[in-house]
Formats: sequence, C-alpha cells, structure tokens
Amino acid sequence: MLQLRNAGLEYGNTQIRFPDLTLSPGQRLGLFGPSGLGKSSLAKVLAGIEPLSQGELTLPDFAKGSANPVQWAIQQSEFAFNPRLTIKQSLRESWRGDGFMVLLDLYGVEPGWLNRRPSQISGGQLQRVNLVRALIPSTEYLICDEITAHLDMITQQQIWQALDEEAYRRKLGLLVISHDEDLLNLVCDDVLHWTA
Amino acid sequence: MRKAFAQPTVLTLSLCLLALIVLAGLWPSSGAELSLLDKNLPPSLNHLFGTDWLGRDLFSRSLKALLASFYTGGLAVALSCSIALLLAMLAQVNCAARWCVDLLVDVFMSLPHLLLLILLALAFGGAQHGLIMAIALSHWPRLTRLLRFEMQAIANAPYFQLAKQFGQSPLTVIRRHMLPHVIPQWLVGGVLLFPHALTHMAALTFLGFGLDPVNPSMGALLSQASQYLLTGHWWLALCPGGLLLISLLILSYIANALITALRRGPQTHVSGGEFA
Repeated sequence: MLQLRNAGLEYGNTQIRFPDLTLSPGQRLGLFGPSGLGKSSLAKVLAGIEPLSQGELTLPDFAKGSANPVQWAIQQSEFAFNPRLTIKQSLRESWRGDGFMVLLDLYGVEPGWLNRRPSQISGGQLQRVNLVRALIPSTEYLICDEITAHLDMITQQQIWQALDEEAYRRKLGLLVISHDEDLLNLVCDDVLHWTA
Repeated sequence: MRKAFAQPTVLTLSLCLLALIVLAGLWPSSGAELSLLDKNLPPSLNHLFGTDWLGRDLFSRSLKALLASFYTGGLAVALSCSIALLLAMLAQVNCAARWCVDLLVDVFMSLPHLLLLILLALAFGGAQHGLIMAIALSHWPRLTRLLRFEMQAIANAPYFQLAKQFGQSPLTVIRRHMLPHVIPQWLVGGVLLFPHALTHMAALTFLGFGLDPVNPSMGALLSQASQYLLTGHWWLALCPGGLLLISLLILSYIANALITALRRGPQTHVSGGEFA
C-alpha cells in the first residue's frame, strides 16, 4: 500500500502541501490539478527520489540493490534516457535478460529500433519504451506523470489501452497525474482533485 | 573526440607537435657544449637558432628546454586534473562534502595566482619538485568547479535518478551515467590547462623560483636572454620564445577543436524547466 499523510516539501521559500492519498494494488487513482501545484514533486516523493520535509509516507519494502516496486514514468521521455545508450542498453538497465521483448510487442515498439539512440526515435515510441522499461516483473505501483500529455490522440489511446490490460493482469496500482480531466475519468476508478 | 582528429588541420598540428617532441628527445646534445670561439653567433644553417654568450647551440638547448617543460608541465597537469576529478566526485557524496569542496575552491580562487604559485614553490623546496607541486596544487580549482557543476546537472537528470530506481548500485550508476559524460570534459580541461601551466612554469623560472638555471628550461632560457637583449642579441629571446609560443598555440588549437567536437556530440545533460 502506498500512503501519504499530512505531507509537505520545502524548496527554499516555496512550500508544497500534498493532499492525503492512498493507493492499493490494482487501484487506478487519478490526480487532477492545475499546473504549478507540485504534481511532479509529488511523483518524485512517491517514487522515493525526493525526501519529504514533513508528514508520513508509507512505501512497500524492498531489498537494497533490487528495483524499487514503485516506478516513475515522466512526461518528457527524452530526459528519461541516457542519450549515449541505445534503446536496448537502456532497457537492460531495469530488465535482466530479454523479458522485455514480449512487452515491446504489446506496446507496439518495433524490435528493429532497439539499436537506435533515444534521439533517433519519435516521442511516442520513446514513451512506450519508457513504460516497458518501468514495467519490470517486480513493479507493483506505477506513477504516470502526464505520460501522454504531449502525444496525439491515437498514440495516447494505444498506450493507455496497453497499460490498462497490463495493470489489470498484474494488479498494478496506477497513480495517473494529469491536467486532462476527461482522460482521468476514462482511465481511473477514482479521481482526486487537488486544489491550492 | 574522434571526429576532432579527423579534421586535417587538427591531425596535422597534432602530428607536428608529436614530431617536435620526438625530435627534441632524439636531438643530439653534442652542439650544446661550451665553445667560446662560437659565442654570440646569429642564426645560420650551422646554428639554426644561433649560439648564446657561452657558444652553446641555442637550437638544441631550446629543444631540450621544451622537452623539460613538457615533462614537468605534463606531470603537474596530470596531478592537477586528478585532484580536480577526485574533489568533484567527493562533492557528490553529501552536503557537507559539497560545502567543503566549494569552500576550498573559493579560497584557492580568491588568492592571487602568481603569489600562490611562488608561495607553494617555496614551501615545497623549489626546483623541479617544488615547481610541479606548485602548479599541481594551484591549477585544480577551475576544473573542479566545472566538473562539479557538470556532475550536479547529471545528478538532477531524470535518467540518472531512474537508474537508481531500477536498483543499480551507486558505483554502476556513476560509471554508466556520470563518468562517460564527464571524462571528455575532464580531458579537454586537462589539455587546456597544459599551455596555462607551461606559461606559469616559465614565469616562475623566469622569476627565479622554478627550475635550476643551469639546466635548459624555457623560463631559464628566456630569463637569461633578457640580460642580453639590449646588446643586440635578439635571437637569444626570440627563437626559444617563438618555439614556446608556437607549441602553446598548437596545443590551444587542438584543445579548442576538441571542445567544438564535444559540443556537437551527444548532449551532456538536459536543460528542461522543472528538472534543471
């Protein structure tokens, strides 16, 4: 279970107060809010990248040196990849072995692109690779931070469809952060409205 | 980097510099002995750079001086670069380490450069050893600062944070994601530092704090030549000075070509709004 209570962050003079939230396995929770509230900071906190300044955060336990069961996918997928590594090398960052091939097929990524660099494939393709990289077998929760905000409708639909099936099959907990309320109503069971 | 050396000018200049160093190493020192009959001869085919006030062939002395300068300078720069990389990596460990490294850089950068060099050279007992230590201990701050901010930018990049998320060990993350971006910058920084160090070495020797004036070194040659300038023996300063200048210019040119090639290569880090 992923839980956040009375939490907040301080960046110099800026203070962020996070809403209380609980995410259980198999649940799809939408987080809606205008830009500038700190949605991306919330994503980083939940992924354990940014430590909290105050409040409580409950995260699933995992052994040191193994992958975090809470994975984080960001909107700008081009920043999520080391520009010097090929797509295959980047996928091997999380996957031990070639298990990603099945998922690549599911997400519609052409295997021929594995030897390209991130700058040599399109944003939509890169975002799919980004999700495949995050969805290793040990992943229990996925924080989707505006993952389709910059993509066209058809690509958005393909990505969400694949993710929907995957989440259902594996009982993944999804936290979908977006400023697109229609998308959240479509994809999620509950939508949390975060206001200042 | 490979692309930089594919350019004909860069390749030619690098080969020229290499040839010069090999020539200096192989050049017989037979002409450099005292020969009072041949003193103060202007440049000719027999003596390309002329001879000095003791009749020694200036060309062979200049080559030996250049070699000595490259050796001491290279050693000092290698030491300086190692210090810079170590401190920059240390600054990544935690907040306290970062604070200490920044303070150290600030302190060293606030001191007058030449004064610091002289003090360090004296503290380490002068001569070649003192000179190397003085250059090594005074030239790291700029490179440290550069590397430290490069590393900071990469540490904030999502792909770096994600690599930790996938459970990779800190060492693997640094080796795979940090060093490949930083090492080229570090090498170029070192090459750029080299002409800088050579000039300062010559300056220190000129002022009398550096190498032994008996052995040929660029600073010693120039400082001795300055006493003979007014007597019309122009070649004593101009020829070794020109040789030093040309090798420094070639080095700077190569370093600049490397930087340009580096900027055209894969981008080092991201400059995205919220991740900056």
